[in-house]
Amino acid sequence: MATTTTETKMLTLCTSDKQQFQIEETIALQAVTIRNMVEDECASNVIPLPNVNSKIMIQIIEYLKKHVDSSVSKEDMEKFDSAFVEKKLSEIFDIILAANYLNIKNLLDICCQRVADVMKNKSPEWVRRTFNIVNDFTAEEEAKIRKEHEWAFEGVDED
Amino acid sequence: MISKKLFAGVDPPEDVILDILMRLPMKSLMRLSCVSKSWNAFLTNPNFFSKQLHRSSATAHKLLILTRSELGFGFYFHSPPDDGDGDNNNNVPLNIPQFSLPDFSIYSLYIQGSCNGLACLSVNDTSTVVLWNPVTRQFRPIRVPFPRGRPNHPFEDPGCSLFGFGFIPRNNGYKVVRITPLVFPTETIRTWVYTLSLDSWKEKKVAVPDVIFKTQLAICVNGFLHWLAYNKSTKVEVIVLFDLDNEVFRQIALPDSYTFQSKIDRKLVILKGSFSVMIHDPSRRLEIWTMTEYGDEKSWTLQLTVGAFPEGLDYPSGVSNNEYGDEKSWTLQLTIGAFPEGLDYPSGVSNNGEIIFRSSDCDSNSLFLYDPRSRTIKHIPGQRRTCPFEAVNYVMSLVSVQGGRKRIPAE
Repeated sequence: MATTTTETKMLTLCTSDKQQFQIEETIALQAVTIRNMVEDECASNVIPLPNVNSKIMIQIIEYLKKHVDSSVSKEDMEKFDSAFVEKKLSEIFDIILAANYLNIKNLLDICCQRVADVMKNKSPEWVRRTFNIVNDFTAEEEAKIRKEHEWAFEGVDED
Repeated sequence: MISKKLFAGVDPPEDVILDILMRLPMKSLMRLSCVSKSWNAFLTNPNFFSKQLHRSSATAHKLLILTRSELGFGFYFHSPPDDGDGDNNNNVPLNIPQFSLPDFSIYSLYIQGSCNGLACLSVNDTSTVVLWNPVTRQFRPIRVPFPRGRPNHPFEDPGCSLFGFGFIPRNNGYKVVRITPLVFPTETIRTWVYTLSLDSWKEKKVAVPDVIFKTQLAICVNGFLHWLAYNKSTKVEVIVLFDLDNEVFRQIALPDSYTFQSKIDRKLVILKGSFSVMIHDPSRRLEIWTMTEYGDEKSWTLQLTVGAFPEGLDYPSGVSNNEYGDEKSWTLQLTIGAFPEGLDYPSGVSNNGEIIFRSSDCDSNSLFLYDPRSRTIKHIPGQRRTCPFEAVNYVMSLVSVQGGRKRIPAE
């Protein structure tokens, strides 16, 4: 049952790889998408989340559990957040997709900020490699844009 | 979908991509514009710019300042102290390009407007205007029709032209307007409009209000250009506006403050994004009124009163930017006891409310920004003595001088 009769109301979330997660409703409701499903009563026993796999769900639950705890100070929460986003970019992107689907604004914010912080001082080559982008400029076209934007290439990180 | 091409492998929705890219400083975005054609198109698209501006309007506003002195000319970006772009230098000098003009003369360079990150400059006795993006360093010289006037009308000339540069939100278009001549009331005033997407000037046979224009920078808000002018029949100062989309003139009333006093110095400014007017009287009192509902004369609201300037600052020359609209919505916001000593000439306001002052002290560097809230004074380098200078609100962008869309062949 989605609403077990224990003191704390529990929800069951089912990920794309058919793993089930039992979590307290108050924790899960931080995700606006889940809240809407519960409020619209379209959530029956188990809430299916076909866009989120279990690996990412575990991390999202970790984040939600921390953020539901009102006793955590602002400083500690910031520390938690900055440690939370210390992950590989590919993982951050997966969390971004899940946070976007589940509509968890704070989580989306810190992850987007993380990507921006990483990209900030990177070269175009790094961006192409990291995001698997094909450079479709001709050498001349690229040289022209680089020349126009010469000053923007000062202070770029070593690849 | 641009987003799919931006991040091969992962496929975040476009909102998410925007969310990430809008957090990057302008310098990073410029660098990323050479990642691929689709990145370039995405970053230089006016839609990206408008979303970015909407998001970052609190911090993106700067002043573009042109100083002139015996030491030479200089362009500076002045950033508010809380600027989020990670640049701690509040006054960043910019190189002055030659704009590919063989007869370029720096001494006849004037700022004629600024909009969405593009500055409009007139050069060489207004024979040419240049659209310039100081961030991407792109520029586009545009020849002005009949710059020198007809031989038998020597005064229909360059210096007597009034320019305006603005953006039309409806179609993301840019136009430059030229009104001439201004000194000869007997002469029919003629209006030319340059449309960037067509790359062509056209003379417009439109009724021009019976006014004497004040030669000040035109302020562009909501697709309208605004100038201060003296209405010859009612004998009061008014705001003349030009609807850039429909190409018609209109007049609106100034806030009802000091209307009938002489020796009042008014300047149109943008404060916190809103269309505003700065009023300065000889007793060193300064008021800033904002049109809180754009277009409604009843919305003029008094935003700021500075009782007396700090000594040494004499001529306020402008206000740095902030909302727009409605003549009745002009609103008064804040009253400050006295201007700091040494500040005499208020000449403008920055978007975030710093007042631009010239100092009356001829021996020192003479351009300052005064924050009436914190009562702090900042010096702007490069300006000496009583040399003229210009300062306009400026927002950084990667908007192209080509107008942000493909060029349509001229008619």
